[in-house]
Amino acid sequence: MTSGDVKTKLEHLNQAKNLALNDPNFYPDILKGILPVIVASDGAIELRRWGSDFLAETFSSPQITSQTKQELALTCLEHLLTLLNELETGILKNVIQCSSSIYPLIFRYICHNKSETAVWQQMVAVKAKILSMLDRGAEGVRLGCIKFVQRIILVQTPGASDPRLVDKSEVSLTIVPLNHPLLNIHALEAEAHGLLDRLLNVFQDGKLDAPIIAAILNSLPALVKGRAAISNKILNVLMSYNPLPVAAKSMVFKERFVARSLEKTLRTVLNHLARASSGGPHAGKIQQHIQRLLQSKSEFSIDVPKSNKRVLPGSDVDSVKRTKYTRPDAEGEYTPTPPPPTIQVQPSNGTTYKTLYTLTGDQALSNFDVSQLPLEMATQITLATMYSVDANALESAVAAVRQRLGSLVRAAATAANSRPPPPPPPQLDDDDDDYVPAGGDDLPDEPSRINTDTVVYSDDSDDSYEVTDLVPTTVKGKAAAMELVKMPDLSPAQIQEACEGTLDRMFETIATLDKPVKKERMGLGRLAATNWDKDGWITILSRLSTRGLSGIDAEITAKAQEDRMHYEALSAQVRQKLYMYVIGDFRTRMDAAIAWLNEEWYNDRLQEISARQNSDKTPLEPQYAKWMAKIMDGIFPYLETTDRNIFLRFLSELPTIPPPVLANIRGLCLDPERSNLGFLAFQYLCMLKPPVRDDVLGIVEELWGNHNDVKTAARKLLVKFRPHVVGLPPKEST
Amino acid sequence: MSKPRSTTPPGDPPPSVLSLYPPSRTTKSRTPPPPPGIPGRQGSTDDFPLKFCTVCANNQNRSMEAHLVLSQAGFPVISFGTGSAVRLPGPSIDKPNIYAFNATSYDEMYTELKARDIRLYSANGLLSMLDRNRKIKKSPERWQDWNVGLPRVGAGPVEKRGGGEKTYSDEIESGVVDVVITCEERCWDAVVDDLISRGSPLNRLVHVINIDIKDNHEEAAVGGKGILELAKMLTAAAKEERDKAANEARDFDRSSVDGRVPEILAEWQERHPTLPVLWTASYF
Repeated sequence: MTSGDVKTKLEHLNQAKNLALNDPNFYPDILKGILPVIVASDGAIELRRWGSDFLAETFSSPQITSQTKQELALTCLEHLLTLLNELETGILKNVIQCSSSIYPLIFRYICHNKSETAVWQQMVAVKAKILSMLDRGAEGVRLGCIKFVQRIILVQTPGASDPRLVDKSEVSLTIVPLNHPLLNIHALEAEAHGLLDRLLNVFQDGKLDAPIIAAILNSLPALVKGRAAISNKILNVLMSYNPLPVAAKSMVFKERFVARSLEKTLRTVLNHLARASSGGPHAGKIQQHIQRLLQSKSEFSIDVPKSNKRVLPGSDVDSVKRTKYTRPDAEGEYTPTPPPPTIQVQPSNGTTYKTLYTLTGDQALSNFDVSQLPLEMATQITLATMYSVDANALESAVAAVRQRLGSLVRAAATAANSRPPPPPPPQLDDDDDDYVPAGGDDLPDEPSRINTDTVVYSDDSDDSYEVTDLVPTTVKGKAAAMELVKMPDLSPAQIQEACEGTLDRMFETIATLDKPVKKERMGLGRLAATNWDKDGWITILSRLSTRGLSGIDAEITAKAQEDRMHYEALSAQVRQKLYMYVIGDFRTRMDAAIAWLNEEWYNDRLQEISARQNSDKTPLEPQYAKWMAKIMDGIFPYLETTDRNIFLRFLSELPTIPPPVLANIRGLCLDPERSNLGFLAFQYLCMLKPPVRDDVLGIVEELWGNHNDVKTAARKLLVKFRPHVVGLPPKEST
Repeated sequence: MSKPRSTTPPGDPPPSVLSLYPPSRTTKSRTPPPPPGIPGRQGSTDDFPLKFCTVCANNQNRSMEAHLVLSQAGFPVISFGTGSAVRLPGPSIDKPNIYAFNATSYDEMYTELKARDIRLYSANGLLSMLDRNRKIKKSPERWQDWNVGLPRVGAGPVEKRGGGEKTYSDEIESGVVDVVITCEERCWDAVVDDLISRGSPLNRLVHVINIDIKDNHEEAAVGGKGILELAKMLTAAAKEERDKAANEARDFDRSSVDGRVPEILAEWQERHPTLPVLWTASYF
């Protein structure tokens, strides 16, 4: 066939195609007419190319009914099988696309026509051929195969069992009649599961075959949504998949781009499924994985930098990434996390404090001068370690050091008795199984190495004192030698400063806890400070001020007087802080005030009693009345009529009302705006606090006599409690 | 991967287009480039084995700019919008002009806005944009309403110029494309999600690529050029692969343009770092 012939033939074919495009009714006739031409193996490749294209288009066309397509499919099967022997990617792609479209059609046909063995065998042959290309074909072919496999899985798994959901046009295992001579339901389903596993495998083999993975990702939602039997399996795989770590370690631009694209595809797929199953059991989990992906995306900062700047290879971020994600085959690129240090139970010969406490066998590590670290960093490292250290590990480490010390002491004892140098201390073997390192590569596994090296540390730095110098020659003196140097006492001023700081921090803590928690009332069974809530702190503070600090105060005050220095008692400081705290917001902190003042009152009582019992002790200055009055003074300017409840409760829960407070309330009575509150308080005290009733009534009488504008209010009270004053006959006492 | 210079298809304008990157600030104008006289006719399938589709929110600015640029270069291309309606700027930010997809033609929008406030809509470039668009195709189309695979013969716009000369290139007869290029991540999401929802009845592979382009005339022009370059790179690779298959067809052709798409995109991205790109392989 000459190229001219091919050209004219193609022109004719194109004309025919245009006819079909304009009127889909022509498809069947045209297809039947051209099939022999386009698949003829001796024909030009252009014709086969064109033919495969037309086939794919025909079976994809939304304009042709599936009934027509099914009829056409029966005539095409044979030719498809022939075309699958082609080697050109483009043709294969088309044929596979076409096969994906007709597989469900043929399957349905076979369901209804049990005797069509030949047709089914052709279809099976096509299937086998395509499946053989799933792993070996060119990329474009494999992408087609993936779609074909998805169709097979859809067809060969049971569809929706709920009759309301069944889509009549859908082809699935559900439509296969029992005891079908050609279609074995179990075998077909097993095949589908096997194929699904092959698809899902790409998420686990760690390769980054981008088009394949993307295509599979986009094919899976249909399976999850349409096939309940396999949706869990697919979802589980999707939800444990994250393409970022595999690629993020790579500095290759393409891989980073691919990872970004795959991650975004995965997220879009998951979002789709989350929406589709909203309210379903998986929706929440899917959302969680989406969040995780977003997070790891930001971790890897894999987004395209907005500027032209490139990330420097080997910048911090990348080295972190590498440490985290490089697999063993790329070991050269990163420093492996060192295995846990070996404990050398017995230090080497030169016994210094350094060797005494050095537990690691790693030379480099033990030569590291920790004092180079800034103090702050050292603290942070130590704290972090203390939080995360394994208790067992710590214990055995301590035990090891203790053992060393013990043997040192024994050695010293022998040395004292017999002058010749002590024999090398007994090799205590590593009996702590915890500390056998997990195959440390270059670390000395064998404790003997350092020992035989006879490394003497005594001269390499000034922090290596010979312990033997410090160990006295007699065992008895040992304890004395081990005693810590005593810190000089703090001066009163330092104490005061420290106390101030501590108090500030305590009140800061209280402020953060300052949320009224509804709690059950325990009554007398209540323990003072069982948990670290606001009440607990207030109790502690008030007891500190009343009882805890008084002894210390006496001591320090004496000392301060010796030194002729001013010293404000710690307890007074605490009280002042408590006072400021209460005044800061007296409406919500009235509880604290009541608790505190009650403690003060109680303590005053105790002091009084103890002073009475042993006369040589001078009682401390009573505090209750003083602070009570102070608080009253503090809050009176701010009291309003609306504070009635708080105020009356305050008065009622206090053990005694000192006279200055009464004077304050009198002031209230004379304030035209708050007069009511004042008289209410008086009335309350008269009724419920008999000890102060006389004092109160005295004041009221005075008010009645001297102040005309409150005469009526005062009279009311007097009428009730002292009728004789206002000229009424005395009542029976109330 | 060959160097970009060799991937430029023959017969194309010299790569002076590429040398425009980054475009100098002085050449930027407030309005899109003047509508072309007669865009290039669609090239033969041999020269243009890949069919393209451009997508933005409104099928007005970014996708149409790219549509124009691609069709002028002879690529088979169609375009869509993913929004719920066509939204064009109005007299104030809270008063946009809203049109339905597929219903109101570019020509009608042009006439209407021109009558309403010729000064405003000339100043913001809307009129020249609509004028360009009405010469490309009839009306904005919504992606979600696209019946993929439906032949698009004669489904195109009006023939405005005399002599029956087509003034546009909006024919993809088979009604399917090989590459979808969206101009905003939101649109990419919509397209990928929509493809999943459709359940891929056609079983046909499609590459969905996003190129983030800001929605203004200047950026649309820059983005359009970028898209053209990408289309050329993809097409060149496709031809290379096909010719390889044709010439050496005695063995399995181990690669195909599908497998090379990520590679080509990465290469393109390195040249256009200001246009973030995203990609997936899905099915119609």
